Amino acid sequence: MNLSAKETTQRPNDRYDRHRLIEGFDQERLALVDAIVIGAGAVGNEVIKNLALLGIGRIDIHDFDLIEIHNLTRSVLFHEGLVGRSKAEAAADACRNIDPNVTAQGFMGDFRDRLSVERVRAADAVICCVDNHEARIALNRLCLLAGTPLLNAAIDAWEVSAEIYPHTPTDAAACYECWIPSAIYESISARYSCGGLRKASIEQRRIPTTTLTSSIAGAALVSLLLQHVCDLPTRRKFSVQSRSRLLSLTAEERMISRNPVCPACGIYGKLPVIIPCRAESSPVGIYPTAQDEESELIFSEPIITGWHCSGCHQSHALLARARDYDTSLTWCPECQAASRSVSIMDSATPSSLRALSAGRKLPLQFLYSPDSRPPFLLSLSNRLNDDS
Amino acid sequence: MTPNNHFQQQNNKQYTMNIPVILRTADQTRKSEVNIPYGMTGNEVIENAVDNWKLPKDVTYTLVNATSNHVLNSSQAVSDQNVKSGDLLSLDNTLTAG
Repeated sequence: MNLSAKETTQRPNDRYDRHRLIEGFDQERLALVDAIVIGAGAVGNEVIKNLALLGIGRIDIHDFDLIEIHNLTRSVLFHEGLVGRSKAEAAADACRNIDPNVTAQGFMGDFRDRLSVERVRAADAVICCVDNHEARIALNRLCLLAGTPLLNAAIDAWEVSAEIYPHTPTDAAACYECWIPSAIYESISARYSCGGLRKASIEQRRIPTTTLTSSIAGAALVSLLLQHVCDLPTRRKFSVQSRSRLLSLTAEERMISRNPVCPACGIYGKLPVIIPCRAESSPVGIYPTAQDEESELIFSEPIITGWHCSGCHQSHALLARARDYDTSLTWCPECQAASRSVSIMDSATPSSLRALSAGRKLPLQFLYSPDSRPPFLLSLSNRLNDDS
Repeated sequence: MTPNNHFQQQNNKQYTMNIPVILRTADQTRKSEVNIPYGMTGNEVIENAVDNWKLPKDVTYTLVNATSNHVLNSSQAVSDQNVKSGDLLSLDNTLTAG
């Protein structure tokens, strides 16, 4: 765009000067946006880079991985000197280097341990840049409970998919689980034994990707975010023509209808009242009504309550997250056989939960009661850096 | 892909009415006119296509109505999801990586 001499000198020190020349682009609104990015891999790098360059107000980044050398072909925010560092923390540092006005924090660890429903509810959007469907399903349910929009992308070496799920309780918009094929649930189940423990021998399939698809995914996600959060005008069409054999760009917009038998939005989409309580306390006497004592409490994830060996008849009580163990837990060193049966629960009534926990700390993010009037969620968050 | 008889005898179910559509892969290397029986689910259509066209079985597919630009639910009957005669259905790869 050619600018007159007057225009170029009006804001000589304004880094967002060119943004302000775009009709409908509200830089002050962008500075108020609060985004949570889950995953700082290939797509996450592009999303974070775009958010920082645009001057988004707050970016929280969650990833449990460390930077490896093979990440560098698809990670614009990382370099060789950062190999071995936390992806989330390195990405946050890069954000602050790009634009010191952006408040960026990196959280090393699993988002299921660090991210409370309250924090998600306070955010404008959650941007899912993970590489597996289990995490996407967990995030979808978390965002449904919080009533917060979820943006999701997936890529391979040649294709990109970018979606937005508004999760507003008043409309009939679909959630992520409204459309995913049943084969995805089957493939997740195949990684677990019939008792619900992860199979020790299963390795995740590696899918090759390039910066070409991750950069398109990053642009698409942030574009969807701006349209939804900042009401950017959508009447303009951005067209890209490519004569390259390597890259052929064809964009198609698809609609997803709400699934009347969706396993997620029918249960998790009720926008519950959030009741904070500390994880180490037993949830006694905090239920809104007496009727709630009979309601089933859905756990944020399955927990192991103990094991019993059918060979030597030893038993052991546990209160631990099932995802922290695998099928090796069934091995009994006394019997030299996989003779232990492991008890796993994903819901309970309040009375059975009291008996189960006996005052011990519940290793859960939340307890959710969808059938109470109104539905409520006991947030068991005591995260170190959760400043919602 | 063989239309009519193959679909109608799928899974020993007896289907009576059909929806004629065009089914293709996302990369458009496979394309065929088929009659999808009323009541046949998206999963059954996908399974049929994978078998007949010998598509990779380690890929998860999603069925999309490319005419109306609607993603179809794989567990529900295709006939219950506003698929009309002559619609173009696409077998898309369900992407995973990030």
